[in-house]
Amino acid sequence: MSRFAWLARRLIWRELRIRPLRQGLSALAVALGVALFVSTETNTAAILSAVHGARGALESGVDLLVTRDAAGIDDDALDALRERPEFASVAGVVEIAATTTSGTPLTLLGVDPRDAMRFAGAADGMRLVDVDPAAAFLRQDGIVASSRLLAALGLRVGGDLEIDTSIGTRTFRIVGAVEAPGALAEALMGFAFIPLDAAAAITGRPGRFDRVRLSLAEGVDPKSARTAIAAVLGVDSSVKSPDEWTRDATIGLDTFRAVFFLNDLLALLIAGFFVFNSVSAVLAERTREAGLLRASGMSRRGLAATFVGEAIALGAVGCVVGVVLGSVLAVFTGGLLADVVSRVQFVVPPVSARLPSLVTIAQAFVLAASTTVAASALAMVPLVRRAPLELLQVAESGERRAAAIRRAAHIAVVVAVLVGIGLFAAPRGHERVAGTIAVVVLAFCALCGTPAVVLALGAFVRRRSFARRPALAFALDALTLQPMRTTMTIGAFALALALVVAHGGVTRGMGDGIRSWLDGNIPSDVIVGGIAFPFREEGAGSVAAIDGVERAFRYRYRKTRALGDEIALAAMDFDVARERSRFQFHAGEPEAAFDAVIGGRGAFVSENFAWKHGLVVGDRFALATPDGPGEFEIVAIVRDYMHPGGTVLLHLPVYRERFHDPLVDFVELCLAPGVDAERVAEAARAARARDHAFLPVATTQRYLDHVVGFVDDLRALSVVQLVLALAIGAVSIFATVTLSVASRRRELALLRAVGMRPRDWRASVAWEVYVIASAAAVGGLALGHVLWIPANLVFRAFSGFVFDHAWPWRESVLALLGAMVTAWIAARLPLSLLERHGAYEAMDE
Amino acid sequence: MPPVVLQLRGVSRVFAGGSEPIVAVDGIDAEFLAGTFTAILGRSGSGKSTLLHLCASLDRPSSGAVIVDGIDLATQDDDALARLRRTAIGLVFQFFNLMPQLSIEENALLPIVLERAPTGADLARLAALIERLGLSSRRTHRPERLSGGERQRAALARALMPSPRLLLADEPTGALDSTNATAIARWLRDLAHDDGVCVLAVTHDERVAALADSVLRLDDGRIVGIESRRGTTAP
Ligand SMILES: Nc1ncnc2c1ncn2[C@@H]1O[C@H](COP(=O)(O)OP(=O)(O)O)[C@@H](O)[C@H]1O
Ligand SMILES: [Mg+2]
Repeated sequence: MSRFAWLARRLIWRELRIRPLRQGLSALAVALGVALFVSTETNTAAILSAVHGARGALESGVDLLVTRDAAGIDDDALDALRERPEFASVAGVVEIAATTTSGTPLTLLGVDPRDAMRFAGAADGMRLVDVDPAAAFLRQDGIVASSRLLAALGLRVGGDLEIDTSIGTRTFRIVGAVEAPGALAEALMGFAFIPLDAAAAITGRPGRFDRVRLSLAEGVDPKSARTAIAAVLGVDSSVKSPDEWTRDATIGLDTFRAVFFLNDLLALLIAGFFVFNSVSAVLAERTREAGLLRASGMSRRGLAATFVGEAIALGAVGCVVGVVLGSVLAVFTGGLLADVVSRVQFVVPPVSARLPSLVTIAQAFVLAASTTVAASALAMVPLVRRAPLELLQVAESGERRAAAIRRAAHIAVVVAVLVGIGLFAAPRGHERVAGTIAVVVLAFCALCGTPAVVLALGAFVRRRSFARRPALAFALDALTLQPMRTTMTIGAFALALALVVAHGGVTRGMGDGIRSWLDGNIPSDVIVGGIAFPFREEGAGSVAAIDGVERAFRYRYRKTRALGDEIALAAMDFDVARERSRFQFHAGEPEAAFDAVIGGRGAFVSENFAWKHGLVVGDRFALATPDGPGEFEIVAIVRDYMHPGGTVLLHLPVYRERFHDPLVDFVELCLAPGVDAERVAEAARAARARDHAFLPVATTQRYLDHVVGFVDDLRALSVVQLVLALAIGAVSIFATVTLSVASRRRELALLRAVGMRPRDWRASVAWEVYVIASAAAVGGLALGHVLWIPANLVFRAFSGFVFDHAWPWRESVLALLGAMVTAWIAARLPLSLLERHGAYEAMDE
Repeated sequence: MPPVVLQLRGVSRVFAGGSEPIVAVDGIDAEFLAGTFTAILGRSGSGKSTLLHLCASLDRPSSGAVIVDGIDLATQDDDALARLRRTAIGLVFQFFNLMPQLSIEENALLPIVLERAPTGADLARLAALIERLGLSSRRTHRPERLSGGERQRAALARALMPSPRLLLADEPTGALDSTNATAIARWLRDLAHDDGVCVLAVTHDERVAALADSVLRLDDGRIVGIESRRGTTAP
């Protein structure tokens, strides 16, 4: 033990002390990767616990939740369930998305008054206050909200709460408040209870429920309960425990987690690169020392242990710093993430900040330590394997390693080509796997392929350039003599840039695709309505009668189920669409298809729907309608990006007949040529029914800009990635060149001694930097463009959508320029470092 | 009389040591003529290397002047000194100091390449020099594959490539066996006598000193003795 402590102090601690900059950078790199991981895990855990907490409290005492998507569940079915002996209690719930007038999202739960009391009273610590249970829900306009929400709004029991719903602003009388301890109180701010009848008035569908809550009778097992439910409701109902239900509802969070985790891995890869560099530089300097240690009797294992000890120490330091950083980061970004998730995935109730869990910390340590140990092991193996005598002699030239890397490059190119071929021949249904493998393999090939090409080219150019451009020759020598370091630097930078370019390509293709799709599919000039607010046509008032309006185009959008998936159902006036829309047909004869869909003999389906289920024109499929499964024939397949599960397009009158649904989401106005859309929009605002003043009105142009703007925002994310990539590039170039200069001090001194001017050796360092940066840029651009193929495939597997290829020229130019500027900046410090050393000083070492 | 190539006037070099300054070279006055071979002897730490570095313009004196070919080095900027080193001064070190990644030929060509793109005449001269130093079969090899004697000859080739007027060698035979050491010493003498180069060699090696035209003994940074056989003047 004491012997190890002695060695540890001499070999590990001394290193940390002697090279604070290098070790500090490595530890910081590890810490950043860890921080990203810790904050993501902490934030997602906080969101999940808020959702689970709120849902758990709201559904406490409930054993099973039953839903039936398109149709909902009606009174009769509820009664039939009540008849069954398996269930102790059966209650229907209507769930309505609304906002307070100040814009805070609020989920309204329409409940049977008696249930409200029971459910609200059952959860741990959650209780109703200020409520006269008997009187509470006798009022039709009564509402029970969380006391935290009321406090935040400055309201109290007995006062009025105004809420924006799909049928306009409604005023409720606050008849009670729910109180709960701790984080739950915060989570409950997102929910309020109203009487069932009030809820039905908002949805316009009395006697129908979104969900049925069941609690089982004594001794009934869930399996027989499910059988009983299927017997009553048919097989297209879905039965889940409250936990399963919440888990499925929050599954979207996994996407975020995956994206963040990818970034974590990238960050840790860079960190590993630092550690590798650092360790190999130390090894280069301490080769003789290691030889001496070995010569004086230290075993290979002992030598390895000292370096592994150093790596673990570094990982531990990085981990501690990272956990602290990550906790701070989590506090600042928690609300942001909840906000983003709320907007694109599911409604997140208010989230309270929390500390990382012990499990997260342990995982972070494993990540950090395995990164540092793997990186230092990689750097160390060649040294440890060598005999003591070899170590005492002159350092190796790097030629052997360069040869190995060149070989790896050849293999990489072959593998990349094979993967490319494989991609096009990917078996149906396996695109997700094939695409993911392809992304990983291509990234790996680029990682060693790009630098290998540089090394090979470098050796070639080097032979020719020595006599004419010695500065370039020395730069190339420096790169080829440290092939691993060069590989890591160029590879990491290239990969980071590739992500930028790939992201730009995918989002640009997406933007172009969505814009041209919307352009073609929206026939109108002015739009009344918004996608979350279905309303009765009368709500739009007399907009169709406005001067200059030629035709009105009604559009209903809702979700339903088909072939086991959730899909979008779009019902519209197909006679108008036929005249004015430009559908992009993939299959089907347009004239016959329009005749068929308007005549109620068939449906258009989206390309992704057909692709997912292997359907062609002429095939039939069933949709869940209130009257049971309804058959439709596919008469055309068109491009559509409405829903990842696919879209079915029906003629509106046909839809109304089959689905008994009088609502619409949009009433759109097609104008006569030359009529000013802005003027008509203004008139439409005035023409809305009085209680529908909330209905948004916009010209189609503005609406499109707004919708496609979201894709632009997504694309703008590539700027964030670019910044990250350039930071990675800057830091790794800086580290590489610093190390390279440090390890070549003797040579540079020699060059000065034989008459090289300062300008020349500065040029040599500059060459080194620019070769790295331009190789990374070229490799990154190429990889970024190639990555588009598998990325699109993976995207399709997840979303069902395909987009055409678009050149991300903006990202490419930015990446290229950014790489060069970054290189220039990153080279400053090593250069000044170089200038500080006199020629003679270095020679004498 | 042959021209003076190197002139030292009251040259001192003081290093800022830990507690008190170290006077490595202490007020040296000397002149060295073209075509002479001077050996500088002295025990370890007596300031030989420091003096040589000053002569090579790798270091600047704390006081006094170093004059090479009539040019006071103190008046020159870094670029000019670098140019002087690659055109007028050849350097040979004890541990060879060859660039490990360059071949022998490339190492030798280095001072030329740093000055300009080599011409046909340069390449012819390179070939002749390599031939003369017996390195023809080693032309394209890297230094790590060469023996000590071969490496020192390669270093000599590099020093001689630009046809320097002044050749400075710091313990050129220190890492060599006696056969190789004697060969190198002969080389240095022949350079002085046949090619008119002013050669200064720091050495411990009496065999080298025996071939020199004059021997300068240093102790504590001061000249403590001069044995002149021909051509060296001392104050
Ligand atoms: N860069 C330096 N900084 C401080 N002292 C130095 C430096 N270089 C040499 N010295 C000191 O100057 C003295 C002469 O050194 P040097 O010229 O190398 O001796 P020699 O070559 O004769 O063995 C020694 O005492 C040495 O410690
Ligand atoms: Mg010495």
